[in-house]
Amino acid sequence: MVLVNGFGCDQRMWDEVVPALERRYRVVRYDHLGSGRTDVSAYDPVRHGSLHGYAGDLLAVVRSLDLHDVVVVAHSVACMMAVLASVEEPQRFSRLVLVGPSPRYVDDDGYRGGFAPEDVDELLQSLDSNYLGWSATMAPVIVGNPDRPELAQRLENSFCRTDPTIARQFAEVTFRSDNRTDLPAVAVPTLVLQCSDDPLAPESVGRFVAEQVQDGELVVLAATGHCPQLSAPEETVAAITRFLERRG
Amino acid sequence: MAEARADDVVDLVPCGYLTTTADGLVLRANDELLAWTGRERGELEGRVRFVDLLTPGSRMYHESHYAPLLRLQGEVREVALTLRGPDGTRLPSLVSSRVVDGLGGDGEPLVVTAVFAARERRRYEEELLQERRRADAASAHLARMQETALRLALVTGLAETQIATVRSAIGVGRTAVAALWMPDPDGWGTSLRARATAADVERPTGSAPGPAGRPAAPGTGPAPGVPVADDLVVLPWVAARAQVPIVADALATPDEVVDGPRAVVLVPLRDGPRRLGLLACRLDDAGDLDDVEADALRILAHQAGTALTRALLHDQQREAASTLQHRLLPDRLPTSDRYALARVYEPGLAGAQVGGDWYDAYALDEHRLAVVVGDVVGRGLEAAATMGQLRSALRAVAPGAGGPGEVLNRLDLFVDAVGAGLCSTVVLAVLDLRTSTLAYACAGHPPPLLLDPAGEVRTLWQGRSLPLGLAPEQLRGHAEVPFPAGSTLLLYTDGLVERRGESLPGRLDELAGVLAATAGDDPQRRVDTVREAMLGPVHTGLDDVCLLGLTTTRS
Repeated sequence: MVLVNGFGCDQRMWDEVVPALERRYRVVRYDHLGSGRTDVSAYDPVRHGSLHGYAGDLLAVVRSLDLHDVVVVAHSVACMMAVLASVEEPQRFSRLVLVGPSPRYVDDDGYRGGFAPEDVDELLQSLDSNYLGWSATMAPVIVGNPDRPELAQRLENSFCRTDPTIARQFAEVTFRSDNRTDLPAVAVPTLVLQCSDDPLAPESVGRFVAEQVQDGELVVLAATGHCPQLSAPEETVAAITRFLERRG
Repeated sequence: MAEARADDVVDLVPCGYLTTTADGLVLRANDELLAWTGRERGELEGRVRFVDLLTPGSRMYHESHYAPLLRLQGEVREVALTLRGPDGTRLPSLVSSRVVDGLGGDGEPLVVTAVFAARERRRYEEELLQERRRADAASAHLARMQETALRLALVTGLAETQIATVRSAIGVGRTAVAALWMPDPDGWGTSLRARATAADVERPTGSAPGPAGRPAAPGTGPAPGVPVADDLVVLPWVAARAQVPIVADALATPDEVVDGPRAVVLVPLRDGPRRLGLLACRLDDAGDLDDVEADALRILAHQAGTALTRALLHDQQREAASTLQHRLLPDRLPTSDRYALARVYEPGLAGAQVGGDWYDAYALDEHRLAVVVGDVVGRGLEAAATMGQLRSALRAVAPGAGGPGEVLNRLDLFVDAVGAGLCSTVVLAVLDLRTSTLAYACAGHPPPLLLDPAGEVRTLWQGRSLPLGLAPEQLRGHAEVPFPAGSTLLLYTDGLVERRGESLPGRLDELAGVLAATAGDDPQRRVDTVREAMLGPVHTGLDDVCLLGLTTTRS
């Protein structure tokens, strides 16, 4: 089982659900380039200028570990990465679980993504205005300080700290993308986990995704917000497990 | 004094305050927050989540960063979020939240949130950010300028400079594709000289503006559509296609697919008042250039103008030097079915095309062929200049009455009068094809060799006199030998035989032996073999080397 987190924070987003999942599956997690402890020099603005680049990274992880029958559990913007990866190499993947997916965030004719183009601009502004991204260089200084061991344990906000330039491009790539036409090519059985009242992914969008893929199922969680793996881990694990066991 | 109740204090503090559930549902909001957001208590408490109070962009940030951090860390501080105020106004704020366990009625954790109005602070930060972006852009431009300067300094010729110019333009002012036009050397048209994209550099051959590959028509001056302007001009793509189609075509070949708007920037290149050419840049966006970007292009134009001028001059000088050198030696040797001429010519000065040695061959009349090899004192280009004079003078005096000796006497007069070429050596041989005889005179020059049809070699020691100009009044003689069909005459300069530490007679014997071994070879192979046998495969000496072989056809 490969867990792929979305934009903003790193693989620790899955901390609340991993113990339960690990009882049944071998769980693999990784960070997107620019966050966590990834090697920033491997980031390629050309390749990562599209979600295909990130899908490629997922495939690279899967190939290098020689994984087969992979269940991908993807969250938020990473859902489309999982979609693209499964279309490219369908034989590797047995199931997709998409938590809070959206193939397109910006409204279009006859399609409600939930946001206007200016809203993405505002998001990019927030990225610039917030220190979470700015002071990425300070973290190693703090960790390396032997006089303050207590700081080494808790790097403030480190799991949501991303290289600011990369974060900006990542946000642009994901929030301006449109992968609606890629959905019908998904042949792998897919579960869409939709939160009630998700500010980033309206229920109509979750329904749309479940209908567009070839073999899709929609489950609406009682949990609200956008990150049920954090706010309602038990409900999330239960929904995933039910889906995987029922479908063999 | 009675202690103020916590509740009252909360409503008095000069910042917004909220208590929410872990899911963000607002349980309590203080008066300040209500006033800001223009809401009533009943609208918010128990009805709305904190995230709903935010603008859409901030909502995205809240869901992707703020909320996960709060769950993972239990606390987040000083995050810039924007709340929605009354009538669609925006309230830039700084927000801090903390999860407090056991605060809820059932002991469940609740979140306490403080919201600070940060309009001024955010405005200040925004200005700082702007300045930082500007500074970053400026230092990027500076770095690029230095890179360009280095790149242009490393090239010399015009072609290289043109390529370096378009390469340097990529990325300046958001240029995605750059192309350079310059007037043709013959002055008739203007053609596309170089083109670069981010990935590659292409140099088209010939003058072929546009994919159709039509050369510019002569006499039209600058190619139609290649504009002339004083400062840079930005044209939206549609306007560019209409006004300067040749430029637009060159900047976007049919196989390049570009989504979205495009624009063209035309940058004139100058050397002072003189127009050198035009640099055209394609931008893959709307094309508004800010001052920094426009200046960057102007600076590039200036650097390119200087470099192109320097390159033009360099190429002109090299061309001149090459042309002049070329004229000092014969273009080609006479050909005939009665004889064959072959030569080897290697100047001692590296990189030069000529030295002080020379050779020549010309028909004096329909039966007589004159062949010459000479050697001017000294080396290098100065000797070459003198050599040119002597060669021309000899050509002028060779026809006319008298044998080779008398001709060389006439050359003495020239040397004496002009004062150039004193002490030069020369051998002049005249072959009479009717009588099959060879007349020769040697002014201080190494003796010619004769290879007869039987394969025997003779060194021709007769007909000798002093080098040129030393005793002009002394009459020079000549000698005659039979020259049966199939014979070869070898003339050469001392560079072929002189070697430090070896005796000249010994080397001459060696030369004779080498020549004898070439019996049966074709004329060019013969001289090449002789040269290689005497000097080795590579000419490492400082002296010029010249060989001239004349072979008459066997009847």
